[in-house]
Amino acid sequence: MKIETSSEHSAPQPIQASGKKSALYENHVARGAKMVDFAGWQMPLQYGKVMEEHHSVREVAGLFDISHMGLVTVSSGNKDATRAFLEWLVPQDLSKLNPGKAVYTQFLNENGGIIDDIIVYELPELKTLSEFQEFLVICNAANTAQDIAWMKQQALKAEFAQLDLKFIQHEQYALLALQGPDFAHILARTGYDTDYLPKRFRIAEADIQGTPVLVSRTGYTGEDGVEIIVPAAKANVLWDLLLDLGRPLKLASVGLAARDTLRLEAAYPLHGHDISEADSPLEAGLGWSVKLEKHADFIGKKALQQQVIEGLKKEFFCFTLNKRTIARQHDVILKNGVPVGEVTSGSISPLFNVPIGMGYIRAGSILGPGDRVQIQVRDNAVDAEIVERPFYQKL
Amino acid sequence: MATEFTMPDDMLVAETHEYLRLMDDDRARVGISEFAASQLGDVVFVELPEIGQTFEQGESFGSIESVKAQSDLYMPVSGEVIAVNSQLADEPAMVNDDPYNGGWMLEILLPKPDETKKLMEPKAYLKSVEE
Repeated sequence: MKIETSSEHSAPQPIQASGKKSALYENHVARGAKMVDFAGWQMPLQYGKVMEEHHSVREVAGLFDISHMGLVTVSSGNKDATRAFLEWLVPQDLSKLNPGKAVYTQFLNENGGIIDDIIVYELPELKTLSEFQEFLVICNAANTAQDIAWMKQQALKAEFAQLDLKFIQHEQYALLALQGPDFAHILARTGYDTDYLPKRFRIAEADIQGTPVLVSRTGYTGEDGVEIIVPAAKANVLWDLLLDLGRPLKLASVGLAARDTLRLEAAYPLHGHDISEADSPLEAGLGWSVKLEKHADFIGKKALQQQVIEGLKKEFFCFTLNKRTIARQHDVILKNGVPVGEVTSGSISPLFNVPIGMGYIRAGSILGPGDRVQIQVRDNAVDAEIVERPFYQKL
Repeated sequence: MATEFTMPDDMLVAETHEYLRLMDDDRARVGISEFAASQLGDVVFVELPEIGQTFEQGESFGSIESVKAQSDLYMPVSGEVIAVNSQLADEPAMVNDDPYNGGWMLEILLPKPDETKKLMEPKAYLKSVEE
């Protein structure tokens, strides 16, 4: 065999000596993780088998280190003014937030293209971790610097120029994710009072055995669970505690490879693959997160309105393959032998044990779920069936 | 991080990482090395030929796919396929877990035993991949 590396983000790259390390780096190495360069960070790809890590999250729970993701607070000393600033930056309606509430949204460019997809939190008043003020943006590792630059550039606009906007990246914090049906049982074993668990898409402060944390009821796996912001100095203590207490329940540590198959089954887009500045949230099937009717104007609104008037030129769709192979990013999609689109993500679904994927297709070229296309996988045009999005839905 | 890869002494191996394990004078098993399986990562599909097909040395006899990559499989020597490991259809991870026993792929008849001269001894192979 020839050992080829694919363009998938999960393909291991040589570790760069200059790569950023999470506070848990040594811990991962000591636990035998295969480390990978991801967006300039050295992160665990897998600790054992990808399939087993995946199944652990679906059946029990998994613990992830996602410290590479950007934690950026936006504040000005005047929360309503900060909100008005962020309203200009995203197509979600931030007037619907309240203290502790979060939404999934995007930063868009003038053409409606997705600069990044993010979660915006309206922070509650915090007794601890008080450097987290007003609004928190959690963004993709590869885009964090660009997102901050984008926000700073927009802050120069005349209407915001008088605000004392501060953009603080909280690099002294680690971010863990505890995801899966048994997540609350595991949290409870730490002494966490799960009666006070934040509801879906809410964040709250908590104390886990003396460590102040922020607990967000969000995730990227298709399972219920939490993401925990913890001071980097306490990250190892919390990681070891959760793994120890979760062991009797079969909690697994899970790397980026299974994180990718988990999010793919849930049909969550990955920026840089499924979404980019060349795609609008409407084209990406994320229209549910776009509030064209919201009171505030926002960047990209005109372009999105235009797309609504003219109709979309491409659509995002999910497929399964009828052959046991994997369609990968940039594989060409054919309808009646004619190229009509491109795959953006593909893998095997560990849950359903079939090859799955997502991609864009020229609008009007398919009828919808049940219709068939072909995907050019290397030398073979492989039959694929259009299926409902997502492949897996629990939440 | 350095992992010590192994390979049983009774094998020969091609530069393309497929091993040949002679069962007797003209019959052998083919699979891929532990090193190659490790480079691929978790194997999810193995596509193997039909029994009765014949291949030349170096010809592709199938393909292997992991979560992260796909690769063609090449014949370490010419041969006729007399058995395939059908268990790999349901348990492709055997290639990772037990590449030299449960993870075998083909059993072949070797019409040209001389071709094994182009293959490497395990020690030389392991040295080449560890560099």
